[in-house]
Amino acid sequence: MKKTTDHSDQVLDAALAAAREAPPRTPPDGFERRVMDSIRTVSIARAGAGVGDLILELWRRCVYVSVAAAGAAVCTVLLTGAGGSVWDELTYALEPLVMQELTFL
Amino acid sequence: MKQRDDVRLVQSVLDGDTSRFAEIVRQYERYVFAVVSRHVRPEDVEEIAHDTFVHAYQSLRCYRGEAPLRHWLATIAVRRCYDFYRTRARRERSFTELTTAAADFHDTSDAARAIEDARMHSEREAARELLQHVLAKLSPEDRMVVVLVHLEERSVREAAAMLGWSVPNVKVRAFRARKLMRTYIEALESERTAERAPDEKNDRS
Repeated sequence: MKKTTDHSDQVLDAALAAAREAPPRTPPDGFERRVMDSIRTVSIARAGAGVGDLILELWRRCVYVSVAAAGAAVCTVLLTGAGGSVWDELTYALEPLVMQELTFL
Repeated sequence: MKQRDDVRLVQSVLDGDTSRFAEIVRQYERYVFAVVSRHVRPEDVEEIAHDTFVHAYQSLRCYRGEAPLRHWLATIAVRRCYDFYRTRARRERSFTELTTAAADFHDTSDAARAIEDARMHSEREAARELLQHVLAKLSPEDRMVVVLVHLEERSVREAAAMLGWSVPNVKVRAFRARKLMRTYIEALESERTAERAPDEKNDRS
Protein backbone atom coordinates (compact mmCIF):
# COMPACT_ATOMS: atom_id res chain seq x y z
CA MET A 1 0.00 0.00 0.00
CA LYS A 2 2.82 2.36 0.93
CA LYS A 3 4.49 1.70 -2.40
CA THR A 4 1.30 2.52 -4.31
CA THR A 5 0.88 5.73 -2.32
CA ASP A 6 4.48 6.76 -3.03
CA HIS A 7 3.98 6.00 -6.67
CA SER A 8 0.73 7.95 -6.97
CA ASP A 9 2.39 10.81 -5.09
CA GLN A 10 5.19 10.86 -7.64
CA VAL A 11 2.78 10.67 -10.55
CA LEU A 12 0.80 13.54 -9.07
CA ASP A 13 3.97 15.62 -8.62
CA ALA A 14 5.00 14.92 -12.21
CA ALA A 15 1.54 15.90 -13.48
CA LEU A 16 1.62 19.12 -11.44
CA ALA A 17 5.12 19.92 -12.75
CA ALA A 18 3.95 19.37 -16.33
CA ALA A 19 0.93 21.61 -15.77
CA ARG A 20 3.19 24.33 -14.32
CA GLU A 21 5.19 24.36 -17.55
CA ALA A 22 2.12 24.72 -19.74
CA PRO A 23 2.16 28.06 -21.59
CA PRO A 24 -0.81 30.24 -20.62
CA ARG A 25 -3.33 31.35 -23.23
CA THR A 26 -2.72 34.81 -24.56
CA PRO A 27 -5.44 37.43 -25.15
CA PRO A 28 -6.84 37.26 -28.70
CA ASP A 29 -7.01 40.31 -30.96
CA GLY A 30 -9.87 42.60 -30.06
CA PHE A 31 -10.11 41.39 -26.47
CA GLU A 32 -9.66 44.89 -25.06
CA ARG A 33 -12.32 46.31 -27.39
CA ARG A 34 -14.82 43.65 -26.39
CA VAL A 35 -14.22 44.28 -22.70
CA MET A 36 -14.69 48.01 -23.22
CA ASP A 37 -17.93 47.40 -25.14
CA SER A 38 -19.30 45.40 -22.23
CA ILE A 39 -18.17 48.05 -19.79
CA ARG A 40 -19.95 50.79 -21.71
CA THR A 41 -23.14 48.74 -21.60
CA VAL A 42 -22.71 48.34 -17.85
CA SER A 43 -22.09 52.08 -17.52
CA ILE A 44 -25.29 52.90 -19.38
CA ALA A 45 -27.24 50.63 -17.04
CA ARG A 46 -25.60 52.24 -14.04
CA ALA A 47 -26.31 55.73 -15.23
CA GLY A 48 -29.99 54.96 -14.82
CA ALA A 49 -30.92 55.20 -18.47
CA GLY A 50 -34.49 54.48 -19.43
CA VAL A 51 -35.46 50.89 -20.15
CA GLY A 52 -36.02 51.73 -23.82
CA ASP A 53 -32.54 53.33 -24.11
CA LEU A 54 -31.00 50.29 -22.54
CA ILE A 55 -32.78 47.85 -24.85
CA LEU A 56 -31.76 49.86 -27.89
CA GLU A 57 -28.16 50.19 -26.76
CA LEU A 58 -27.97 46.49 -26.03
CA TRP A 59 -29.50 45.63 -29.37
CA ARG A 60 -27.07 47.99 -31.14
CA ARG A 61 -24.04 46.38 -29.50
CA CYS A 62 -25.17 42.79 -29.53
CA VAL A 63 -25.74 42.50 -33.24
CA TYR A 64 -26.83 38.90 -32.93
CA VAL A 65 -29.38 39.56 -30.23
CA SER A 66 -32.85 40.61 -31.31
CA VAL A 67 -34.65 43.58 -29.78
CA ALA A 68 -37.14 41.07 -28.39
CA ALA A 69 -34.38 39.12 -26.61
CA ALA A 70 -32.89 42.28 -25.15
CA GLY A 71 -36.36 43.43 -24.10
CA ALA A 72 -37.10 40.04 -22.57
CA ALA A 73 -33.98 40.28 -20.40
CA VAL A 74 -35.04 43.70 -19.17
CA CYS A 75 -38.64 42.61 -18.54
CA THR A 76 -37.58 39.46 -16.69
CA VAL A 77 -35.72 41.54 -14.16
CA LEU A 78 -38.45 44.10 -13.78
CA LEU A 79 -41.21 41.51 -13.41
CA THR A 80 -39.37 39.24 -11.00
CA GLY A 81 -38.50 42.23 -8.86
CA ALA A 82 -34.91 43.09 -8.11
CA GLY A 83 -33.84 42.74 -4.51
CA GLY A 84 -31.40 45.62 -4.48
CA SER A 85 -30.80 48.05 -7.25
CA VAL A 86 -32.84 47.28 -10.34
CA TRP A 87 -29.94 48.39 -12.48
CA ASP A 88 -27.45 46.13 -10.77
CA GLU A 89 -29.76 43.19 -11.28
CA LEU A 90 -30.26 44.22 -14.86
CA THR A 91 -26.54 44.27 -15.44
CA TYR A 92 -26.35 40.65 -14.32
CA ALA A 93 -29.27 39.71 -16.56
CA LEU A 94 -27.61 41.36 -19.52
CA GLU A 95 -24.28 39.59 -19.05
CA PRO A 96 -25.31 36.40 -20.87
CA LEU A 97 -26.42 38.49 -23.84
CA VAL A 98 -23.12 40.31 -23.91
CA MET A 99 -21.35 36.96 -23.66
CA GLN A 100 -23.48 35.67 -26.51
CA GLU A 101 -22.30 38.55 -28.60
CA LEU A 102 -18.67 37.73 -27.80
CA THR A 103 -19.15 34.12 -28.74
CA PHE A 104 -20.40 35.04 -32.18
CA LEU A 105 -18.00 37.84 -33.00
CA MET B 1 5.81 54.04 -8.33
CA LYS B 2 3.78 51.57 -10.40
CA GLN B 3 1.26 51.31 -7.61
CA ARG B 4 0.89 55.12 -7.48
CA ASP B 5 0.32 55.17 -11.24
CA ASP B 6 -2.31 52.47 -10.85
CA VAL B 7 -4.09 54.42 -8.14
CA ARG B 8 -4.12 57.51 -10.35
CA LEU B 9 -5.42 55.49 -13.28
CA VAL B 10 -8.19 53.96 -11.17
CA GLN B 11 -9.12 57.38 -9.80
CA SER B 12 -9.46 58.86 -13.28
CA VAL B 13 -11.82 56.03 -14.27
CA LEU B 14 -13.83 56.62 -11.10
CA ASP B 15 -13.92 60.33 -11.91
CA GLY B 16 -15.79 59.50 -15.10
CA ASP B 17 -13.11 58.85 -17.72
CA THR B 18 -14.32 55.33 -18.48
CA SER B 19 -12.13 55.02 -21.56
CA ARG B 20 -9.01 54.92 -19.36
CA PHE B 21 -10.10 51.53 -18.13
CA ALA B 22 -8.80 50.30 -21.50
CA GLU B 23 -5.28 51.08 -20.22
CA ILE B 24 -5.87 48.77 -17.27
CA VAL B 25 -7.09 46.04 -19.62
CA ARG B 26 -4.09 46.55 -21.89
CA GLN B 27 -1.58 46.45 -19.04
CA TYR B 28 -2.97 43.44 -17.24
CA GLU B 29 -4.76 41.29 -19.84
CA ARG B 30 -1.79 38.93 -20.25
CA TYR B 31 -1.42 38.56 -16.50
CA VAL B 32 -5.14 37.88 -16.00
CA PHE B 33 -5.07 35.33 -18.83
CA ALA B 34 -2.10 33.63 -17.15
CA VAL B 35 -3.89 33.44 -13.79
CA VAL B 36 -7.12 32.14 -15.31
CA SER B 37 -5.29 29.63 -17.54
CA ARG B 38 -4.19 27.74 -14.44
CA HIS B 39 -7.74 27.19 -13.30
CA VAL B 40 -9.91 26.52 -16.32
CA ARG B 41 -9.64 24.79 -19.66
CA PRO B 42 -8.18 26.82 -22.56
CA GLU B 43 -11.55 27.27 -24.27
CA ASP B 44 -13.00 28.90 -21.14
CA VAL B 45 -10.12 31.26 -20.38
CA GLU B 46 -11.26 34.19 -22.51
CA GLU B 47 -14.77 34.19 -21.08
CA ILE B 48 -13.53 34.24 -17.48
CA ALA B 49 -10.84 36.84 -18.21
CA HIS B 50 -13.50 39.05 -19.81
CA ASP B 51 -15.77 38.51 -16.83
CA THR B 52 -12.87 39.39 -14.51
CA PHE B 53 -12.34 42.80 -16.10
CA VAL B 54 -16.06 43.61 -16.20
CA HIS B 55 -16.34 42.65 -12.53
CA ALA B 56 -13.20 44.69 -11.71
CA TYR B 57 -14.79 47.70 -13.38
CA GLN B 58 -17.97 47.25 -11.38
CA SER B 59 -16.00 46.95 -8.13
CA LEU B 60 -13.40 49.59 -8.86
CA ARG B 61 -14.43 51.66 -5.86
CA CYS B 62 -13.30 48.80 -3.63
CA TYR B 63 -9.70 49.11 -4.82
CA ARG B 64 -7.93 51.17 -2.19
CA GLY B 65 -4.41 51.03 -3.53
CA GLU B 66 -3.13 49.11 -0.51
CA ALA B 67 -1.92 46.26 -2.71
CA PRO B 68 -0.71 46.34 -6.31
CA LEU B 69 -3.54 46.39 -8.82
CA ARG B 70 -2.34 43.11 -10.33
CA HIS B 71 -2.88 41.34 -6.98
CA TRP B 72 -6.36 42.79 -6.73
CA LEU B 73 -7.16 41.64 -10.28
CA ALA B 74 -5.70 38.19 -9.57
CA THR B 75 -8.01 37.85 -6.57
CA ILE B 76 -11.03 38.76 -8.70
CA ALA B 77 -9.89 36.33 -11.41
CA VAL B 78 -9.52 33.49 -8.91
CA ARG B 79 -12.96 34.15 -7.43
CA ARG B 80 -14.51 34.27 -10.90
CA CYS B 81 -12.94 30.88 -11.63
CA TYR B 82 -14.42 29.56 -8.40
CA ASP B 83 -17.86 30.90 -9.34
CA PHE B 84 -17.47 29.35 -12.77
CA TYR B 85 -16.91 25.91 -11.28
CA ARG B 86 -19.64 26.32 -8.73
CA THR B 87 -22.33 27.39 -11.11
CA ARG B 88 -21.50 26.13 -14.57
CA ALA B 89 -18.72 23.67 -15.28
CA ARG B 90 -20.07 20.82 -13.22
CA ARG B 91 -23.48 21.13 -14.81
CA GLU B 92 -22.26 21.46 -18.36
CA ARG B 93 -19.38 19.08 -18.80
CA SER B 94 -16.95 16.90 -16.97
CA PHE B 95 -13.64 15.36 -17.82
CA THR B 96 -14.78 11.79 -17.51
CA GLU B 97 -13.06 10.30 -20.51
CA LEU B 98 -9.32 10.02 -20.50
CA THR B 99 -7.27 9.39 -23.61
CA THR B 100 -5.21 6.19 -23.49
CA ALA B 101 -2.02 8.21 -23.19
CA ALA B 102 -3.29 10.04 -20.13
CA ALA B 103 -4.64 6.86 -18.58
CA ASP B 104 -1.31 5.16 -19.16
CA PHE B 105 0.70 8.00 -17.72
CA HIS B 106 0.38 6.68 -14.18
CA ASP B 107 1.74 3.30 -15.32
CA THR B 108 5.22 4.66 -15.65
CA SER B 109 6.79 2.48 -13.05
CA ASP B 110 9.41 4.61 -11.35
CA ALA B 111 9.42 8.20 -10.25
CA ALA B 112 12.59 9.25 -12.01
CA ARG B 113 11.18 7.99 -15.27
CA ALA B 114 7.81 9.62 -14.62
CA ILE B 115 9.43 12.97 -14.00
CA GLU B 116 11.78 12.58 -16.97
CA ASP B 117 8.92 11.52 -19.21
CA ALA B 118 6.83 14.42 -18.04
CA ARG B 119 9.42 16.65 -19.64
CA MET B 120 8.83 15.15 -23.04
CA HIS B 121 6.12 16.91 -24.97
CA SER B 122 3.59 14.14 -25.54
CA GLU B 123 4.05 12.86 -22.02
CA ARG B 124 3.58 16.35 -20.71
CA GLU B 125 0.28 16.61 -22.51
CA ALA B 126 -0.78 13.26 -21.09
CA ALA B 127 0.27 14.35 -17.62
CA ARG B 128 -1.73 17.57 -17.91
CA GLU B 129 -4.74 15.66 -19.09
CA LEU B 130 -4.44 13.26 -16.20
CA LEU B 131 -4.27 16.21 -13.81
CA GLN B 132 -7.37 17.78 -15.38
CA HIS B 133 -9.17 14.47 -15.07
CA VAL B 134 -8.36 14.19 -11.39
CA LEU B 135 -9.09 17.88 -10.70
CA ALA B 136 -12.50 17.50 -12.33
CA LYS B 137 -13.42 14.93 -9.70
CA LEU B 138 -12.79 17.38 -6.85
CA SER B 139 -15.32 19.79 -5.41
CA PRO B 140 -14.96 23.39 -6.66
CA GLU B 141 -13.53 24.36 -3.25
CA ASP B 142 -10.89 21.61 -3.24
CA ARG B 143 -10.04 22.30 -6.84
CA MET B 144 -9.36 25.99 -6.18
CA VAL B 145 -7.13 25.15 -3.23
CA VAL B 146 -5.18 22.50 -5.15
CA VAL B 147 -4.50 24.86 -8.05
CA LEU B 148 -3.45 27.75 -5.81
CA VAL B 149 -1.38 25.79 -3.31
CA HIS B 150 -0.09 22.72 -5.13
CA LEU B 151 0.02 23.92 -8.72
CA GLU B 152 0.84 27.62 -8.42
CA GLU B 153 2.77 26.98 -5.19
CA ARG B 154 1.27 29.96 -3.42
CA SER B 155 1.45 30.04 0.36
CA VAL B 156 -1.59 28.88 2.31
CA ARG B 157 -1.97 32.40 3.67
CA GLU B 158 -1.94 33.92 0.18
CA ALA B 159 -4.46 31.36 -1.12
CA ALA B 160 -6.70 32.04 1.87
CA ALA B 161 -6.60 35.77 1.21
CA MET B 162 -7.43 35.29 -2.47
CA LEU B 163 -10.38 33.05 -1.75
CA GLY B 164 -11.55 34.99 1.29
CA TRP B 165 -11.37 31.84 3.43
CA SER B 166 -9.62 31.16 6.74
CA VAL B 167 -6.03 29.89 6.77
CA PRO B 168 -6.91 26.66 8.66
CA ASN B 169 -9.70 25.93 6.17
CA VAL B 170 -7.30 26.23 3.22
CA LYS B 171 -4.62 24.24 5.03
CA VAL B 172 -6.93 21.34 5.80
CA ARG B 173 -8.44 21.38 2.31
CA ALA B 174 -5.00 21.43 0.67
CA PHE B 175 -3.96 18.35 2.64
CA ARG B 176 -7.20 16.43 2.17
CA ALA B 177 -7.57 17.31 -1.51
CA ARG B 178 -4.08 16.07 -2.30
CA LYS B 179 -4.82 12.85 -0.48
CA LEU B 180 -8.03 12.50 -2.47
CA MET B 181 -6.18 13.04 -5.74
CA ARG B 182 -3.72 10.30 -4.82
CA THR B 183 -6.65 8.00 -4.16
CA TYR B 184 -8.11 8.75 -7.60
CA ILE B 185 -4.78 8.01 -9.26
CA GLU B 186 -4.49 4.74 -7.35
CA ALA B 187 -8.02 3.81 -8.39
CA LEU B 188 -7.17 4.58 -11.98
CA GLU B 189 -4.11 2.39 -11.69
CA SER B 190 -6.13 -0.53 -10.32
CA GLU B 191 -8.69 -0.06 -13.05
CA ARG B 192 -6.05 -0.19 -15.75
CA THR B 193 -4.39 -3.23 -14.20
CA ALA B 194 -7.73 -5.05 -14.09
CA GLU B 195 -8.41 -4.12 -17.71
CA ARG B 196 -5.07 -5.49 -18.81
CA ALA B 197 -5.21 -8.73 -16.84
CA PRO B 198 -7.34 -10.69 -19.38
CA ASP B 199 -5.07 -9.55 -22.26
CA GLU B 200 -1.95 -10.69 -20.45
CA LYS B 201 -3.59 -14.01 -19.65
CA ASN B 202 -4.43 -14.49 -23.33
CA ASP B 203 -0.88 -13.61 -24.34
CA ARG B 204 0.52 -16.29 -22.06
CA SER B 205 -1.86 -18.98 -23.29
